[in-house]
Amino acid sequence: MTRPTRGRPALVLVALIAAATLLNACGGAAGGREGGGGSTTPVEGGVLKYRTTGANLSSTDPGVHTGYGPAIPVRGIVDSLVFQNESGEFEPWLATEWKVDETASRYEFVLRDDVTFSNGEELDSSAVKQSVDALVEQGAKYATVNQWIGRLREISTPAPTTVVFEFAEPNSSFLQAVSTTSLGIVAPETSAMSYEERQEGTTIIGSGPFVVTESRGEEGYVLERREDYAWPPASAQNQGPAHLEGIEVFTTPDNSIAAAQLRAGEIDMMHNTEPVDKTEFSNNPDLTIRRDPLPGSALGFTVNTEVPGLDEPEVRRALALAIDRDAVLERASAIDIPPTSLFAANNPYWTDQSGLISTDVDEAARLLDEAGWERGEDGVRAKGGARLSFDLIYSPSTISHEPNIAVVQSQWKDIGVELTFGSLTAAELNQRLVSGDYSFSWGSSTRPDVDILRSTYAGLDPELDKVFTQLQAEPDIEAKRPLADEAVRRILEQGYFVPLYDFIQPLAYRNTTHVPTLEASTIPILSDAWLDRS
Amino acid sequence: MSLPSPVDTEPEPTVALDPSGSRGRTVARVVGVRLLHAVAVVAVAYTASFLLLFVLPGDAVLARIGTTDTVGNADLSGMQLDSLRAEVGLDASLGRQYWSGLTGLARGDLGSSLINDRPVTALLGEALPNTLTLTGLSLLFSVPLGFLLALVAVVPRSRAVRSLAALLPSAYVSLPVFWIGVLFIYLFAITLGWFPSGGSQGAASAVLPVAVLSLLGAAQFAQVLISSLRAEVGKTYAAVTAPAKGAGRAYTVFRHCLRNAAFPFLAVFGLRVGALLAGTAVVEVVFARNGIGRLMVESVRAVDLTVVLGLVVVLALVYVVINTLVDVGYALLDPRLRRMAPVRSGGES
Repeated sequence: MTRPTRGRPALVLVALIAAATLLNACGGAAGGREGGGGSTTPVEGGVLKYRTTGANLSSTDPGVHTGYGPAIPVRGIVDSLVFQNESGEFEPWLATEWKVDETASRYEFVLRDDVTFSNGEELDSSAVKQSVDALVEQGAKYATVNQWIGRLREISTPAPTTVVFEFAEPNSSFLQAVSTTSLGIVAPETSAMSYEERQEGTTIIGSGPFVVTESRGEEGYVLERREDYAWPPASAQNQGPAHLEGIEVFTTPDNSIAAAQLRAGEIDMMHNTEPVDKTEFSNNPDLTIRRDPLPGSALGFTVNTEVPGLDEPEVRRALALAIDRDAVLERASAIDIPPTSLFAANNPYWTDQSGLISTDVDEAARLLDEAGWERGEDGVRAKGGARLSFDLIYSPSTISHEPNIAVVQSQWKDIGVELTFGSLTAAELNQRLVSGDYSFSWGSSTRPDVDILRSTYAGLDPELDKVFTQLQAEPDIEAKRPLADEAVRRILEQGYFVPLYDFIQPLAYRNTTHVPTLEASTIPILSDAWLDRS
Repeated sequence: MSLPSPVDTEPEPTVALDPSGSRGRTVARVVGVRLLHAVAVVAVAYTASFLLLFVLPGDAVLARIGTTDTVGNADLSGMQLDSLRAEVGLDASLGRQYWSGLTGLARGDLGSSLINDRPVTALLGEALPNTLTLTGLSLLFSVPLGFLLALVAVVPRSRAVRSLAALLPSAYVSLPVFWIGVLFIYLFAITLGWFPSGGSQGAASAVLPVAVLSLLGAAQFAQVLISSLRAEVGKTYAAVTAPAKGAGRAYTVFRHCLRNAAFPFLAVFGLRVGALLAGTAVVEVVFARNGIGRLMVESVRAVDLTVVLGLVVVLALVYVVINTLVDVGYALLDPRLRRMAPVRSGGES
């Protein structure tokens, strides 16, 4: 009965796609006529619609959000003791001044005395102590944050406006840690809650320019302006209540759909963009995509030196030399840039180390020959039963980099090295990392601090560990720089890290959205943000 | 998940009621068998999921740490995670965890999420209404729509109309749900701006996801109905007897064939609802909606044992309820079954 109809579903499909594309193109053209221009005088009012991705999105608990995207709206809820500005320097915020002892084991902060939380409680030294103690007491539930806090011995409150942190061992990165959203100060009412209660969405009370008023579960939440806010960091342009009336947080899981929503003006700002959309955004007259790299490390491969083959410095150096980074970048988005150090170019401790990142395929092959790795029948080099066959593991958020990784795979194949790669769930990834069951992991630290070196490379190399110990005990940023350089040089020379490129951090917004002030982590200060009224 | 096969829902060999026996005893037996059946389904589903989740690599404690973006490999290796494992009960042996889960279930306690410590019942309470609305509305639209499509594919004299109507369901079913969802979003939300592209704020946000799912359900129901209607239309009573008595084609189909054709439809109804629930999970993710589908996806990803198992229990119960309804449906449709009580053959359940 339905004899010659096989082709029809395909036809219907093609027609639908054509219709969608056509309509989309029309929409795009129409959208092109409105457009930015935009004045520079802030406009009051409006609700910023922001889309984020990540885990635990129903939670507004600063302590669980150490990733960039979810931290942005949480930044509006809580303030921090100090502010790390875009050039990496620290400014007063809730603390007006601070003292660090010469071993970086004792931090004393003097607090503002005019700050209140949105529930009316006052910010004093005891509130700060409770806020940080609550994180420490929960231990592994706030695993990352506690790693940043380090070996805290005691928090004391000699005066209502003085709070002192004392450490069992030096932690010169603590100032950077307290500047993060994750260590933002919450009200005593919130500090007294159980971990579970803190995850409910509307229970986090801070002193920030916005207050959570509505939770939409996994779909996001709503923030409203606090009318009596008056204590932003000094470098904020707006010293009063936020320009925006509120912020709506959305969690559209699919990056392409979110990108389409941004183009259509359904949302104003988004985090996480696919390479193809990044390229498009950078050419779109209606949109802005920020060009700051992720402020932590360059993207690349972190080497597991326990793996046979990778335990030889010559092999590691050969692998780094065999990568033609221009070819890798061709597959990336149009705005990513070549690496110039282990640090991304906007990390406060960055210096130009591009001399240590070079390409020389012949030299790579020579190094491998010399080290005794001979090509087998399958083209993969081997020595004494071990093959130069490696795996690279990463989380699903790295999937958009796979085309670039494939370029490395083929370049390494030319010198007789096999690479396989694949994404794993956070649970499996961390299990493999903890048990050492991997050759390379994806390096993508986002903390704008020198401590990302220790956090990743501690315990590999006694010489490096020595530098790390010195770094941790050195409170002075200028004195830290040469040490940081030394560590970076050592890591690159020894091939503990194979840099690929600096990843442009994925914050994009419509030109009607203005975010004049950023932290070092490139998180915007939301009390400064404003929207053009159309 | 272990689910009752459609065969389970077919009426078992039936026996005539003992004319002198008490009706109440039989009803009690039927209800008892049903309950046992339900308990067995839930227990098997629970056990199978528990074991499946257990062989997944990593655990919830590792999942909640975050990824290399914020924790360096060296720090990760140095973390003291065992105290947290002990706190959430992940340090106990497999058997112990299974037993405490089962006994908790028996008490009606589904435990707390291993990721955010919130009670599973609270998470379900937040997610379930949204999903029930979505599936309920979709079913509401898809059944009549499915019947309509099937009738259009069988009744009209024009072969072209019939063929096209018969083709549409297969075409739609063969497309992946997420793809249709994305297409709908691009077309109706982004480009035309008629409806919100996601979320569950306001009634308008339900339109697109309900449309995607209703069409899916309608297409699936229509597929079954079309083939059974065609078979009925070809039988002697419809092809010969009814026309001979002067009945028109439409009258015959409506009056005689439809009721008979509804049996296979009912038989697969339970399964189709399952497919619809699976579709709901995809739709919830694509449309960024809260719901048990999205909760399931996130929880499996994070190896959140307690939440996944809680969801499995709820879904298994849904299956049992639907299959019971299907059996009731049989009894209502078939006068023969109304006079008899189904009795399960021995050794079952």
